[in-house]
Amino acid sequence: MNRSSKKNSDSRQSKRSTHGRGEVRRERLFGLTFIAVATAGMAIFIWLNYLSVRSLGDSPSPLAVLGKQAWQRAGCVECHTIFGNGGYNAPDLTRVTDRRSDKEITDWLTTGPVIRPTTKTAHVAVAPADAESILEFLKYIATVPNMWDGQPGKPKGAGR
Amino acid sequence: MKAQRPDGASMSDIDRSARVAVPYALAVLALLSFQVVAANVGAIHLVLPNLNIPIPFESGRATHLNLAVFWPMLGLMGATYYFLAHDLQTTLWSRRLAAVQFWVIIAALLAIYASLLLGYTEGREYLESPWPFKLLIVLGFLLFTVNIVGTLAKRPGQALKPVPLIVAFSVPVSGLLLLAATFSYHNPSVDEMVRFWIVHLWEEGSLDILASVAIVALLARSKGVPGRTIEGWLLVEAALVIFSGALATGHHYYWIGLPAFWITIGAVFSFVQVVPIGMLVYISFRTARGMGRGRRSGEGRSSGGSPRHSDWGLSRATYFILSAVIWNITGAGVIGLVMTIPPVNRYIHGTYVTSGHAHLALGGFFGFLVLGLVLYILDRYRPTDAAGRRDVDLSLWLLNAGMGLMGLSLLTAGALEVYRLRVLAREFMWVQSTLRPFLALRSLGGLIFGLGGLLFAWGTARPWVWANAPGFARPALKPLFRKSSLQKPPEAEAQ
Ligand code: HEC
Ligand code: HEM
Ligand code: HEM
Repeated sequence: MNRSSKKNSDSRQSKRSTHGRGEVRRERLFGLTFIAVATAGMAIFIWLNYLSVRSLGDSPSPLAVLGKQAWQRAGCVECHTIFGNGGYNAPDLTRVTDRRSDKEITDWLTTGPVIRPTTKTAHVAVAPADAESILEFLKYIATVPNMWDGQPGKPKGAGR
Repeated sequence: MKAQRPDGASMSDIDRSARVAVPYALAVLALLSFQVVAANVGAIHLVLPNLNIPIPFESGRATHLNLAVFWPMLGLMGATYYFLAHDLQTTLWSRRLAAVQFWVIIAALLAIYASLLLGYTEGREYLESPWPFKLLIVLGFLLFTVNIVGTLAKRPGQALKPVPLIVAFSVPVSGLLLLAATFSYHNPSVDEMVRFWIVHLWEEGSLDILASVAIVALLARSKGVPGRTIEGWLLVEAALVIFSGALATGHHYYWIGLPAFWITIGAVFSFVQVVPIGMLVYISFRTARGMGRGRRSGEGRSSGGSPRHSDWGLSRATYFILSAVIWNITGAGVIGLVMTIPPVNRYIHGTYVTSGHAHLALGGFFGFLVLGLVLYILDRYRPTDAAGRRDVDLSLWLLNAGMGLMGLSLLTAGALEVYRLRVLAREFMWVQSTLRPFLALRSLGGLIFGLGGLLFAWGTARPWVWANAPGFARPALKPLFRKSSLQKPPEAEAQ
């Protein structure tokens, strides 16, 4: 490797000279500018993310965190959206606790009823404890001050 | 001249070293085939929900998303090795390390798809794989970084040149972003925030600049434009991509509980983000247009040795890359930009419009790009045979038509969904039921895309998988395809 890298710099030199000195200097300038701009972009971005995290409101309660984990284990996000992110074939759940009672939600989650548009497929069912914690998680989600109401065409708080 | 490479490595040494890209390319073909088959099942499931499908929708979708993220990544890794070696005119630091990296990632991917299909999910969209497997992929990036640094160390004078510099920036940054997104966070807003470091910052930042490198490196081989000129532009483009791409992550932060300043920042920098896409289009078409006009030799470091056989591979790879670039400006650039405008986003957010954009951008841009790269690399080491060439030519049309139909029907479904759900405020599941005709059309598009994908994989992989099988040249399946009504031998005579 040593041998080859020596040879390398020699012929590089000769190739460079055909490009000229100004060429080399400009190349270096462009390269350093790229590093500066790209690093600056990432740095500003990380800083703004840091500011955002610092300004967040209340953290979720331990029960809501358990609910989040149960939500994740069951893969609910593949069909439903929260904050509008997720799957597109089931209702957004960001404010589901505004339109459904606690009991409706836990019943729904523990019994696993048949879901539209199918006539036989049952909704995912979870253990009662998971249903309770998921409910807590969904309640927490509904309190996040996020501007996402899911239905801009509709006055906030109206039933579904 | 050919034997006297700057570091004493001969062309054949470099080519042999860059051959580490081949397993990456072949793995892409396997994953692509798996994806299009499975995705079609999923798409049909959405249209005919009563069908008995053994795999639950949530497992299938998670698998599909993890394929969508990781096969373009794998292809870009291989192409980066290939073009870096040729650009630096040196052998890679370690072929063995590149192979270890490959197997680490393949092991991770197999584990990921197996666990997702079995229902073990981490339940975060796009990052569903259990964390140990994500960590394995981070390890893959670490090995990649080591290998790249080692290779650059062989040519220290070159480190500030566009291609090595961008690669050396992109690879560790991608690894770090994935590391940050490996574990989930308790606060859902933080979780979403970090998730978009992959969903957005990989695809529109760190991997996007690797994609630009590959595009320029490949197109430079046609020497339509002297290598150095476009490489200079490449740096400007990459700097813009990273700077605007990072801040444009804000367009995913509008509604997830982060401060409202992201609405301004996200919108403004999304507009800037379209500038480098325009530049890439310009560079690509300008270079490709020069292709036909004879070859000027000796110019451009990326010239990487004269093709050993006809330029069929280069010319077809160029078609795939031009397709990618067109999907990039339309599906990602224009549609993405419209979706970004905050009052518009309020309506289209989380509807099939997003799905349309996601397919056109990820499948249309990264998908077509990586297929072009795979085709080029495989064809250089084992020329595609005549039947394979016809397959690839046909697949180019099928893939584009399928992607177009899929994208358009998803966007139409999305537009209707927005109107009925968000403007008329009709009930969600009722609105869904009215979208079925368009989801059926999408499924048809997916079918065409899937046929194209399989045909492409079949055509390009033939010399690698069956090269030694006697009498393989005309397998029984081929005539069926030949005679089908889909047959429209596109420019088969142009060879
Ligand atoms: C296979 C897709 C799918 C998965 C996975 C899924 N759901 Fe659902 N869910 C639906 C559909 C479809 C509906 C609407 C059914 C209807 O209205 O007939 C629904 C309805 C609901 C509702 C009532 C919504 C409303 O507006 O009334 C709640 C609450 C809910 N799901 C929670 C969950 C939770 C929690 C999970 C994870 C444990 C989950 N879902 C997983 C498809 C899914
Ligand atoms: C190659 C480049 C791109 C790729 C691969 C890509 C990919 C994606 C993907 C996969 C999603 C879906 C995210 C999700 O499901 O949560 C998405 C959403 C989005 N993209 Fe892109 N994109 C690209 C370029 C762009 C550009 C250039 C813009 C804007 C100028 C843009 C604007 C958006 C917006 C606003 C959303 C969110 C949609 C919503 O609110 O639901 N994208 N993109
Ligand atoms: C055979 C062709 C394909 C079919 C039939 C298909 C089908 C589907 C289906 C059914 C979904 C889930 C529902 C939805 O969001 O619409 C989906 C989502 C998705 N697919 Fe595909 N797909 C195909 C090809 C691809 C390719 C090639 C890519 C990228 C490499 C891709 C990337 C994605 C992404 C990113 C999503 C999530 C969309 C979002 O959340 O916004 N797909 N696809």
